[in-house]
Amino acid sequence: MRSQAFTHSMTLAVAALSLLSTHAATQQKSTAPADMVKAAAAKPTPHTPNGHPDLNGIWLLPGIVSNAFGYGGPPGEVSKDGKEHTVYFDGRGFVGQSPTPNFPSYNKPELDAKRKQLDASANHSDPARYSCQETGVPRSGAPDKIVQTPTEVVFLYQQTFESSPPGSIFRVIPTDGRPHRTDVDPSALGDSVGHWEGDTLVVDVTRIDESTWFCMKGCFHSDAIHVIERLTRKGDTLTYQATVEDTKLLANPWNTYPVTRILAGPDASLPPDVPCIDSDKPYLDDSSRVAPL
Amino acid sequence: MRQKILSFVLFALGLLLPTLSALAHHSVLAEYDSKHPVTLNGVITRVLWINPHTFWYVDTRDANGNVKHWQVEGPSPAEWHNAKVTRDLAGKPGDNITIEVIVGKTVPDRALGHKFTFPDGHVIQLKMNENGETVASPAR
Repeated sequence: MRSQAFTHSMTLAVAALSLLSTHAATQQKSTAPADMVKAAAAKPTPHTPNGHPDLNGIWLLPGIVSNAFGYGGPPGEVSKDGKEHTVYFDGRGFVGQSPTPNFPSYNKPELDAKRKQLDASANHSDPARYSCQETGVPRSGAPDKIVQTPTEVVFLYQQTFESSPPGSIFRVIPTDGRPHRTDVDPSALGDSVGHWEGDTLVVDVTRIDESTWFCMKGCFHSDAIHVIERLTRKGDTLTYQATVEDTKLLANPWNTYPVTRILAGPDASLPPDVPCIDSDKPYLDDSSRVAPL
Repeated sequence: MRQKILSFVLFALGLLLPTLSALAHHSVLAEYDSKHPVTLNGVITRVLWINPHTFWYVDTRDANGNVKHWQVEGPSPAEWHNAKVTRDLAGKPGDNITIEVIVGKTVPDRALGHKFTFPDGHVIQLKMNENGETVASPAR
């Protein structure tokens, strides 16, 4: 089973790599991610005994092949003789990107200007870049693994990409109807409560710490931030979308583009945790620093 | 229903950028001089298999025998995992190593390593392409 999956993965890896290779004889837009999503979504949607969609499992980004660890990530390759290991990394986005920019609108021009400036100086100004600080909600996006019980859902995140949480992070989201906690400090992950709407888990998040960015392009916010996340299972796909409100700073609610993940196979496991140590910042080049407002 | 799925697919991924990645990270090229790649031949003194970046501390010697201490960063352990690279393939203190790097713009003893070659001939490497700019290798 494992070797079949591996061969399949390598085949997909080669297909995906054709996007990246500058030597490719025929530059073809890879449809592998779209095909994977389509095939997975066409499967039946399992439900738990109490009628809710079953969100249990490890969820992989489409077009990202499963590696031999059974976990998704950007394509990587090992040569036939086993001596050359190559990680591929295409900054332009091999899984496809939104065709149009998607930025929040602040309620004052100087706030929009501030976001742009933070984005331009992100190597230095982003709390979660080149550091071990949490990316928080909703910037961390969908979880890598979900564990679901009749009364709560647990989201597990692992460091899979540079901008994911710096290491093992989890969120416990009660779905038993209890209200938000008010006796907890704000945090990067905030306080979450969830409820079901058909095949969608709706998560309401408050008490998100002001120091986070809600998107990686300089999206600062106030303590009035309020996030609603939606996770919808369709077949073997899970689509994550978040809406961010901030009545103090935003002109209107901002929506993330939906991101769809695919259920991993039974061999999948989360990659091991490694320590996170802040060591980059003192060495960052000054030439990208922009003068603060 | 299929149309709906297809539209999801079309719009997918665009902008929950953090989940997407790795892409984000690589304003790393802004920190390094990718126009002048360099090859380091030296000895590993330390390997850090950590987030957010792995590190190799390498001592090289110039023609006069003067030692230079380098700090070379690589992608995260999770990114290395995608090419089945575990830390046992990363070398250890005392090993010779050849690394193709690009050097920090304002911190000249700091570099971004993209191709690591070990005495037994095994290679671990990152082929990176950011905004159309690739990490160049030194001319052979």
